[in-house]
Amino acid sequence: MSDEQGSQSVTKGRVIIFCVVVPLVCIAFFPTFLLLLIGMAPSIVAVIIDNRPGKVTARAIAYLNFTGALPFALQLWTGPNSISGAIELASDPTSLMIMYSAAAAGWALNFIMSPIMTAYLSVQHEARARSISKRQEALIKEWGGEVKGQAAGQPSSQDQQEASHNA
Amino acid sequence: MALNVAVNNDEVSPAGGTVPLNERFTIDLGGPLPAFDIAPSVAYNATLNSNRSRPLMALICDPQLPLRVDKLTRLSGIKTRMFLKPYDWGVIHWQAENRHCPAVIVDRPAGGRVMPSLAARIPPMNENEVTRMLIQPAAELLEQLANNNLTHRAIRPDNLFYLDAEQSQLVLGDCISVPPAVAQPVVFETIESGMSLPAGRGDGSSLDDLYSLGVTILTLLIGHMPLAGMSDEEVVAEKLRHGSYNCLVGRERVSLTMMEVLRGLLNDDEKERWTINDILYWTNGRRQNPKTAAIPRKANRPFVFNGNEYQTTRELANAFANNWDAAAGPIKDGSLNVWLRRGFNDEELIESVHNAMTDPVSIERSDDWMISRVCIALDPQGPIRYRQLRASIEGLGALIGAYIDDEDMRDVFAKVLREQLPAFWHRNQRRPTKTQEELIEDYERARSNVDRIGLGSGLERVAYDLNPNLPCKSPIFNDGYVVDVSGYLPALEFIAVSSGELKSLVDRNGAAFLASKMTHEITAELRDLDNKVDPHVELIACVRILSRIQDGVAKKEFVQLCHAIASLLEPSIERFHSRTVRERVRERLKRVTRGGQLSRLVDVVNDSRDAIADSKAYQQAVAVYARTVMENQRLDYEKTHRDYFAREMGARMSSIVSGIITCIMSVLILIGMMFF
Repeated sequence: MSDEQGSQSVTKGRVIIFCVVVPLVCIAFFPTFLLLLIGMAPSIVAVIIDNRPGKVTARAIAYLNFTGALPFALQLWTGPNSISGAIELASDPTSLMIMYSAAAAGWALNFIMSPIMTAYLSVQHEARARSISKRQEALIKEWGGEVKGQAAGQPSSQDQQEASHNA
Repeated sequence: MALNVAVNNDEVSPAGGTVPLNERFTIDLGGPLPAFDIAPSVAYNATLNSNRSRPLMALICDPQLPLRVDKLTRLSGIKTRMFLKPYDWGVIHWQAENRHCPAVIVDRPAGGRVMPSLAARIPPMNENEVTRMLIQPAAELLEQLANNNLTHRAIRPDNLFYLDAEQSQLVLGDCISVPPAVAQPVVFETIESGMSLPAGRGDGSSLDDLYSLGVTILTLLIGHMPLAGMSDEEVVAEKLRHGSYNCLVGRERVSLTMMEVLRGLLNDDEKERWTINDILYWTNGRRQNPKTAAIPRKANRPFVFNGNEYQTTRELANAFANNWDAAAGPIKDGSLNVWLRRGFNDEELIESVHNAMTDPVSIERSDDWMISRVCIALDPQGPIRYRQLRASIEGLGALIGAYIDDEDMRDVFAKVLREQLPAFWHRNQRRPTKTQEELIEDYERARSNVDRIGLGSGLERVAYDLNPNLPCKSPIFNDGYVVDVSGYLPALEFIAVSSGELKSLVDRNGAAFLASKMTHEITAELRDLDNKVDPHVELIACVRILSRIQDGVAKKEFVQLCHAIASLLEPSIERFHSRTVRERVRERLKRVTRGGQLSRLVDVVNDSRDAIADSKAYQQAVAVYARTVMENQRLDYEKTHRDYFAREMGARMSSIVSGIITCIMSVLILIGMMFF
């Protein structure tokens, strides 16, 4: 089976899930769905505004947002699992604050991670540069400067394009 | 470069001491014998190791001139007391010039030189003495020489010695320390030999020796050299005008008996000249009808050329040769043709000159070509003349050997061969000898080599092919003397020892020298010698050639030479890319140089397995380096866009961390709900 055929069947599966399974689940567990819809509103907004491939920022928010909403969903299941129960829980400011605070923690994690990664990359780049330089020195020591001269013209434009694409 | 003889005449020997020669003789460099110098060679006392009482001397020869060593064996077999017999020859270190020189061991006469110099005047000798002491033994000597297909070519009064202290016997001096007739004054040479340059006279025949003997006899009879004070050109012109006999003997008082001998020996017509048998008959008392001196055929009216009048074709040819640039005029304007038709009733001569002026192939030829051919046609006996080149057919090869470093002469010689003048000379001979015909074939073969530019070819090759005794003229051996292949490696070893380094192993001259002597053995190497792109190929070819000499001829170890060559082989080591391999090869080279075998050097440096492995590894190293360069470029890109990459990675990491937290918290919440 070719890749094209594979991707077509995946898309088909997703369409079936979104058009059939999700509406059925929503209808079947409507009070829970309603609670999550209200409690995970920040995640829905994040999904909408996140342009990154894989929506990684939105995921970080959604995961923690879900953690905040999970106790209330369980409370709904163990209590009166009805629309009025869901509205009651959703209209409680404490529960809303907990759920939205969890989403905010996701946002905060996102902001904190960026400078940490900058510091990490800086160290990693230095280490890689040293490693490359060491290998080049060893090659020149063994094979002389000519190995460098020929290698300077060696990388093809295709390789360079590939490198920039990967970056 | 002539040998520095100044130090020998009245001065103390430059260094003294003794020098061994071939482990048989000892040369006493502290015992110069100026009385026996035979220019350009200088004489030193020498002893035979096995019999020290034997009177011998060593002639230290000019290293720039080829010796006639190929004739040494035959000459030493001649049984006569009329000749300073050569015993052996070798190369010695001549300390006066700090170089190697050839030395020849010959008998040392007990008496002095008959005539101190050719300019000297001595008391005239009695004709009976001349007959007894010179003519009779000289005739016997020449007979033996002729029987061995040899010539002396150095018969003149200053090369004549008294054999004994009582001065009762004469002996002819050495003849192998210089090329044939190279030191002979024109007076003692036949007209045609006198016209040639000294280096271009060639071995000649016994008739040339007989002519020289005739002039020597005359000199002893009159006590001085005839025609003294005249220039060489004047001597030749006089001989041409009057004939040798009339010119040399004409005004001298000589007895009728001696006149008969002289008329026979000094006859300019070779066919009429006395032979060895004639002179032997004469010495035995058989008197012959005196031959009239050959008088050149003269034209009815003279030919005026360059303001002078000429009545014979030989004279005119000589005048053309002496006034080369003016000669084309009378040939081209037809005046020569008219003079020949009106002056000589000789259709053969006219036809011959006409052929000389026209090219059967109808190629436009130069004036030089035409003048040279006309000179041959006018004087078929004469030498080949082409501008400054003048050489007998026998001496043409010797001439290029002597002038191999002279650019002008090289150019002229190449033209002579290209324009096939030897073949034209041959066509103009009535009865060429077998030797001459063989020489013509040699020159034809040489013609194919003249224009080849590769190493081992060209004029150098021609010179060595035509002169088996010519020492290698390579600048490598500026201070050496290499005349055969077996001497090549010892000479290089000497340079390596004395100077500590070698600049070159086989240059153009050396390649031609070796190619001439070992053609088929080194054909492939000679091709590689021409490789100017890769110095390694050329170097390896050089060492291969030398190793072939070592394995085939020298058969001994040359440790110092190996050391010097090992340092020369650096470019061959440099062709290995890997420093480790280079060091390994250098180490191996050091080890094998101790053995003194050149072939081992080649094996070490030219190991194909090493070369292939090194080449493959180098290609891999180049690829690896290229990858590191790409990595570096990528790293630079990441550094430049570090914030972007940090944000992206931060987002991914926060997603992962929040996922993990979610999992843990979910489990904890579930547990809390279940149990609390």
